[in-house]
Amino acid sequence: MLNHLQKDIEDKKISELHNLINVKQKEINHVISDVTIDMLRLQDAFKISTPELQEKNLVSIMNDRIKNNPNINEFTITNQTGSEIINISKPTELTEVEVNDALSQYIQSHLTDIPYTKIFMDSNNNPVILAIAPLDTNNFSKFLVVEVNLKQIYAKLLDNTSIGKTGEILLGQKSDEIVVLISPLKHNINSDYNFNINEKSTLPIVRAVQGISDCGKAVDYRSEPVLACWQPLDVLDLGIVAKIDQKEVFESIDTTKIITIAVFGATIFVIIIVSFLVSRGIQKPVLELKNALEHINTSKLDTEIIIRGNDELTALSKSFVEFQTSFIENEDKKKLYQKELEKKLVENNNFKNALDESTNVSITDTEGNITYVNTKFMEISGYSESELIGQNHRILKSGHHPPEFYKNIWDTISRGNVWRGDIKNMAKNGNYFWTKTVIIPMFGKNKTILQYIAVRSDITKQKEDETRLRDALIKIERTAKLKSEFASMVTHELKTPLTPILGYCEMLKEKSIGELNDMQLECIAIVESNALSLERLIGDILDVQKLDMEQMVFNKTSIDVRNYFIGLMENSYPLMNQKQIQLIVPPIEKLVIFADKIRLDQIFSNLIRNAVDFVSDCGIIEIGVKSEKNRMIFFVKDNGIGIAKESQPSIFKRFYQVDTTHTRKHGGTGLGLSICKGVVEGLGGQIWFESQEGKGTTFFFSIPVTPDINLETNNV
Amino acid sequence: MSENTDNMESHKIKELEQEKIILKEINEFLEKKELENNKILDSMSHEFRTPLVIIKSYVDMILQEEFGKINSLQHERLEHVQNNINLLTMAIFKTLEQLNNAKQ
Repeated sequence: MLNHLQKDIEDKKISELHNLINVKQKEINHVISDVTIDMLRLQDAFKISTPELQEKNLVSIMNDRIKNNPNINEFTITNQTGSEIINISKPTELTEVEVNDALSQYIQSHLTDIPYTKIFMDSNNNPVILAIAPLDTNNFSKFLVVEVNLKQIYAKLLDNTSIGKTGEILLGQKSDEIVVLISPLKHNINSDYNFNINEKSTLPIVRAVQGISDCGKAVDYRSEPVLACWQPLDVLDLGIVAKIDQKEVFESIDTTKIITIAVFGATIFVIIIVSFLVSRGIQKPVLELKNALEHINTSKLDTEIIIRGNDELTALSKSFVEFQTSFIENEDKKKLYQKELEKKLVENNNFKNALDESTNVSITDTEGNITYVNTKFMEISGYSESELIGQNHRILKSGHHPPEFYKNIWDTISRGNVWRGDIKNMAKNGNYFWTKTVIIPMFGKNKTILQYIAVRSDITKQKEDETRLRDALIKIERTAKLKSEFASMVTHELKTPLTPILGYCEMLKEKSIGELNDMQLECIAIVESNALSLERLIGDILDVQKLDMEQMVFNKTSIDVRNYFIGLMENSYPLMNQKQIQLIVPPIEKLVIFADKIRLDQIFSNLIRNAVDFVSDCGIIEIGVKSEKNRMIFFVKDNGIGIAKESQPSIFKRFYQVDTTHTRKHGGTGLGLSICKGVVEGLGGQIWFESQEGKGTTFFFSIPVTPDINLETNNV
Repeated sequence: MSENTDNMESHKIKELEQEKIILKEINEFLEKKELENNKILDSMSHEFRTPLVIIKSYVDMILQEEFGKINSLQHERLEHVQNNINLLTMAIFKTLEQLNNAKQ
């Protein structure tokens, strides 16, 4: 009977211990799974971020987790050798944990999942573990190391108050051939115990570390008989033991042993009542818990668990509720994360659609074989999707570009750079089309190129225009070249025959080879004047060419203006005398300018000739000069017919003549004023006129007097 | 990538618009130039033709002794003048023709 009672108590205690160990185990699992999720999240963030954003994204996640997960002390991202790249830790975390050993062990092991190191004490004597994983599961170059603080969980884990006075929870981890206890001892603290690992050892902690889980009577490290439950932890390489001295458990039985027989019946009755109540007390919450768990299993995560009382079972339920709550939280986080991903996916799809609508898009693999084409691309190329997919991009080659052109494209993109340029392609029907093309390499993991995206827009029309334009420009250039050739040709071929013509006319006029009558002499004079006007025309054309080609050379010398005017008057008299024109020259100041005398003569001769042409017989022409601040203004004034308002804007244009019949009579070329303008501007001045129809015209032109010109003049 | 594409698109459109404007300007310039060239060539051939025709016809008249007799020496010189005028006429019209061809 008594043995029976003892067995009951023993069973009850063991089941208590067993439950307790399971709860502790779950608490650890919970903490560890939290950390694991955080690490997976960082791996994912690394994977989906562009290289520029990687660091930013990781840091922001790490900061968030440091803040919200009390169990994480520190995130470290290191390279293979263990040097830190990023480190984010709790503000209270002052000590650095050496990660190199753990890291190198991890790298050697070639694992890809997330392992945890053994528990060890940091310098604050807090128990910590390190979790290690590669940031990129395909590339062992960067590692994520998370320092997990087990202080809180440790306190919960080692909370043995619910077991009893002599109750104790032990944690041990394997280290070579011994078990190292990482929980403080309750009894005989100062003694030195040796937990050798061997097959025969019956110590619960040794057995737990060896991976055995069981419950029952055992002998503990003090050789004290105990009731114990032991098992290895699921997630960490640890063994856990919950135990209580048998003495304590059976104490009540020992004291009652003496009177047991006397009060046997009563006792039995009491025991029956007690055991009934106890079993009810246990059964009810267990049933409720069981029902709730069944609900949770059928994915109703938020099923409420009713908690009554305050015994160990209640504690178990409470722990379970805690576990449930945080599990639900995790589920929510996962959902949120998934939603974000889905949103990103939709955004990307939208961009792709927009791109497809506006441009030609194709994607090729690294060999240049087409893997995707959009509708626009098929439209322009004339090929169907099935004709293009799997084909090399060379199918569109037009033969217009040399092989080096394609080599350059290939070199650029295979180095990971974006290529931009215009390409001439050939469509299926043999028509050519030009595209402005951008080829973008897309990177996968390790910065390897996965594929190339080519975005094109049709510029065939622009290219055609461009070609036409280029042809036109070539033509213009050819004309320009011909013009300059023309200039030298004019000099040689046109001037040569003129010289003998003028010579013979002179000879005939002088009558040195025979007499001529007046009629004949007049004919010769007409021939001579027309030959001279041809000579002038040729000279003018040459000047126009020179001005056009900007080849006119100015030989500047210092000119005494007063002397210059005296010469000019003398040269002009014969012309004036023909029409009895009065030439007026007002007094000229003593001035010196720096200019090309021959060109100055040319300007004056053109302007004076024009004036003579347009004044009537006995008219008046005035020539002179005025000195202004930075320039000298020369003028030629006549009282001739003037220039009509409508003709005024055009008079400096080539071959523009106010009245053709009139000019023809006087042998003008129509180039004179245009040359004057070119020459004056070539000398740095300006030319303009004032005119009133019927009253006369005044032409002005300026020659600049710059300080350095004055200086040169003085030197000369 | 999407942002880049957007930028690329707007950049491309701007480029095309610019190209269009430049093409239009060049076209106008060419048309003007063409017109001007035509006018100048016409004027030039006219400017040359008139004195050449006058010289040639007057020399012809003297040579045919329409105004009176001339001696053989005068005749010979005037024939030289005539030859040179022919040479000059050929040279001028060859040049003008070349300029005209080049223009087309």
